[in-house]
Amino acid sequence: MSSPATPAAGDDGALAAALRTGFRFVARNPGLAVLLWALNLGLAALLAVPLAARLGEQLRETAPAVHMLYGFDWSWWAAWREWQTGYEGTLTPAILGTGLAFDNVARVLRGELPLGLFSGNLPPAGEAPLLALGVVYMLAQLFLGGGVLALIRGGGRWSLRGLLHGGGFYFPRMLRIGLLSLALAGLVFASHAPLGGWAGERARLAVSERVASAWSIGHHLALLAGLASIYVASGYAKVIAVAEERSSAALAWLGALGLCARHPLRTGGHLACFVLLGALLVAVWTRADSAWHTVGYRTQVVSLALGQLLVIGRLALRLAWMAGQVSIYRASARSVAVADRL
Amino acid sequence: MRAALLLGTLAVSMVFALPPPGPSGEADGSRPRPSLELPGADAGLPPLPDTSPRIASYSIDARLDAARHEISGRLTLDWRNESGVPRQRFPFHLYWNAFRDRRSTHLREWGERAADEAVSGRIDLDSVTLVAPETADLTPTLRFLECESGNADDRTLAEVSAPRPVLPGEVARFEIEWRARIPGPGLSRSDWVHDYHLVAQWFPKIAGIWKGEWNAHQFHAWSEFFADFGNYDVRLTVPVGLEVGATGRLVEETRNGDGTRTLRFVQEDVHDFAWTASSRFLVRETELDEPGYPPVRVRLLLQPEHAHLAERYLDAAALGLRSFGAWCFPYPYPQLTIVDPAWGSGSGGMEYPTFITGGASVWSPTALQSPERVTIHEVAHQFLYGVVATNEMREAWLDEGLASYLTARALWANLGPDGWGLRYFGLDDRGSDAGWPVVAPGVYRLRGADRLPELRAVGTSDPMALPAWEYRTRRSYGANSYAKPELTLQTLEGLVGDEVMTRILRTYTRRYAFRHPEAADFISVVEEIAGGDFGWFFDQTWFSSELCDYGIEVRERGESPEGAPPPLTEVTVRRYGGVQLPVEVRVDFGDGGVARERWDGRGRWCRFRYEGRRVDAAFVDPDERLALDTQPGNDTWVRERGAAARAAARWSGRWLLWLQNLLETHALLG
Repeated sequence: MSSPATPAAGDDGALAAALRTGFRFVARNPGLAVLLWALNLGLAALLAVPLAARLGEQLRETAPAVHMLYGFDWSWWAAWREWQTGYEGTLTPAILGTGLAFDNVARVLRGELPLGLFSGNLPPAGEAPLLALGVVYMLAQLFLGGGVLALIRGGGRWSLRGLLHGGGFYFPRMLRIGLLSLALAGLVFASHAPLGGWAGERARLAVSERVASAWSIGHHLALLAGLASIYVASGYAKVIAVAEERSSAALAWLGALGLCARHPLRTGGHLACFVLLGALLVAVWTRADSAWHTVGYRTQVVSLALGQLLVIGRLALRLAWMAGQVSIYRASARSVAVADRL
Repeated sequence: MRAALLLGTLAVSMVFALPPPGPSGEADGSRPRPSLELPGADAGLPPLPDTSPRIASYSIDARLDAARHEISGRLTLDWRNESGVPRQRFPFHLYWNAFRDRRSTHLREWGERAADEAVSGRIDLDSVTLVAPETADLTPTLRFLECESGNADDRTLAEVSAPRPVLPGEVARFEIEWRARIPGPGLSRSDWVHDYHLVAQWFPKIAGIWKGEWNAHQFHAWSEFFADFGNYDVRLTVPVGLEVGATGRLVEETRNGDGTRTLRFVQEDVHDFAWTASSRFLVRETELDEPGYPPVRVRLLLQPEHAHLAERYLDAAALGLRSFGAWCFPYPYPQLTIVDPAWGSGSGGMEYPTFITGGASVWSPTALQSPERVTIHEVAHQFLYGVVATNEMREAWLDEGLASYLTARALWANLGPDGWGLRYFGLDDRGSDAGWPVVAPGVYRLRGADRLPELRAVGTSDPMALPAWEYRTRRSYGANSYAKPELTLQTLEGLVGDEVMTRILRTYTRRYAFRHPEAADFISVVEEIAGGDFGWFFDQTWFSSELCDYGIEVRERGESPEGAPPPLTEVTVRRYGGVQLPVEVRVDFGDGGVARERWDGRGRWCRFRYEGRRVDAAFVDPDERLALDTQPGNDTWVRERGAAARAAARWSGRWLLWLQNLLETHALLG
């Protein structure tokens, strides 16, 4: 009679297997990452191309064009931004370097994504196209997510037909789980509001700035942790919906919560690994980007390629994450089955 | 798991250890330091007076109740009548009554600040006695004044009446007893937070004489201060365990045996006295001893969490003292105290004689030049306000503007352009307060560039030269007291040249040291040194609410064979703003030639025509002298050779990357 592995060894083993499975899936299906990248790039280009045209027109026959070619003309940008009423106003130096990641996270924590649902304030009218595009992208990813999970479940190589078939089949479930996740994110924001106010008050009353910063950054981290928990559980709910053919989003969510509660180390460790990998990805990109001086079209191509590698890397991480979640789910299901047999 | 931890450490260290790339060229520390030597051409500078007129001298004995944040005190004031006419009524400022209740002029104008009973500030006079030239109890004559605000509920200005007038040249001696409560955290520039106390404008202070009259005004929301020079001899009794810093030099310290100690500070030739006490201060001291200048002892009282910023504070102070010593006169006092305010205090960024407050964040990337900027600005005030004591109530822009100009000049000369960044995850809505700083790599601002947005936003709200309480909004006060005068002086520097500007500064500051000059005095020095009438310049700038904006257009006329220059090229300079300043125009031709033109800038436009020559580029204000030009982006025309398209591709590509990541972030949320 075999004896079950110790819980600690089981967590470590499941985590390592999840990481292995995740990256193997990406390595065996690079085309899937490329497809997701093409979709991401295509949608973003819908707004970036008009911006390029507008910028080109506004910089035409001016010295700031030369300044902006070789650096960043802050004076020109500051004046230019004052009369931008549309999404163009989001072109700021804040998106350079690691600011890109900080800006994204800050928007999430302010509740501006998606559609300004959790911010308590109406988003600026000019940013409506961005937010609308974000929702389209979110829906597209929910659609593709079902297809990707079906592919992972099948274990074979990906095909566009299989992806679309799986996506179409599972989309209603994915959508329900997504909506439920958003509702739960709303709860997280609602419960964070008093916490944030309380922590802010503690920060204001703190004796030292260091303590104040700990309170302030701490409550933002708490919110981030809450949202990350939703994201993790939502991911497992989608896995369960596909693996167990569950049509009830609520039951899938409950199953996911049960899985996370039973295996906090492996699910939390899996998340931590991917957060760290994401940070490493941003760090590597930032270092490469800052070492590369963009001065013309040819150097721009390299900058653009570096940026796209960042996006592709991020998409690959997401695919590896999804495959890893399936692996953790299977390991968990196996251990439950073993336990049942025992 | 260990691998994950290693991975994490690596990632975090790479993200946060990245040094932002430095600005190219001049910002690498190779800039020349301002010379401390006075060139021979300036040998005829006015000498610096040995002493001030010493009109209002105080001897103060005060006790701090740190637990209750209260002060009780007794002072003797010797006031010499230098106004030229007999004076029987004597106005006194009681500044902390601005925070007594919401009915004060200050809080009414401010509109945002609360003053509940727990944190309100106040000052009450127990007795006012005239002891010379005759003895009389003036307490019954005490009454509060309304002045220009018409607010009878305000108690920040009171007057007492003597039995008979004090004659010109005669000295009146007053003895005053008072009690005061320090305003609460963030309520005022004097406040307490935990056991940190920044005590300024804290005693009953006689109004100054300006233009032969009392300069007696209630304490307005965005007004600062004005007083006559004198000597201060101040004894402060505070609980043992509190570190104390103050205006002047410490000459005596006594342990009282009741858990308190008394420190005596003395300073001659100043017009105010401020002090601070806290148990948390770290003390750092240095001596600035430059050849040709008297030594200055710099004492820094620092919050413990800012210990790593001590060198930057002290270096900034040294940089300011050196720069302004060269451009104005050697700092005339033997010491300077710098206070790093406590978290939550509103006392940062203020100037008092020989005593300044700075301000910094635990995370202060060097690119953002904080605490350097605020420290250097307040050091500049030691010269322009401290010694050249302009009226900060009626002409705030004169000392704030000059100090801002000197600050920007010193920063530019010594540290180069500042960077740009945002703070994340801090306290306020946008996270800027106590947040984590992220500096945008490769983004730097040229001198004065950071001031232009304010000028564009509210520059036309008011003429610049107004008393502090007459600006339409606080933002207009800020733009007209800091941004516009700074840019005006930078523009003047561009017009007269750096050397002449330095001579103007040296002459003005030395001539009016320990005096109360006004705008007309500065203008007359400009005209004397630069030569000629400059009234037109100041009428267009300081005394106007118009903006300066010149632009340029180029148009080719007629048909020409392929590759040949056009028959006629018109270069049109346009004046979009109301300010009329002479401008230079530079035209670069395709054949390598360059034409320089001048225009008096008075009309709405001026056109230059060139026959048979191809213009490659045209610039209005090619040497960037008009720092006041609110739209520098339209000052140039450059023949399009693809730069615009490439720049647009570059930055829209960068934005594309941001948007792609934003979209991918959406994918995490469903």
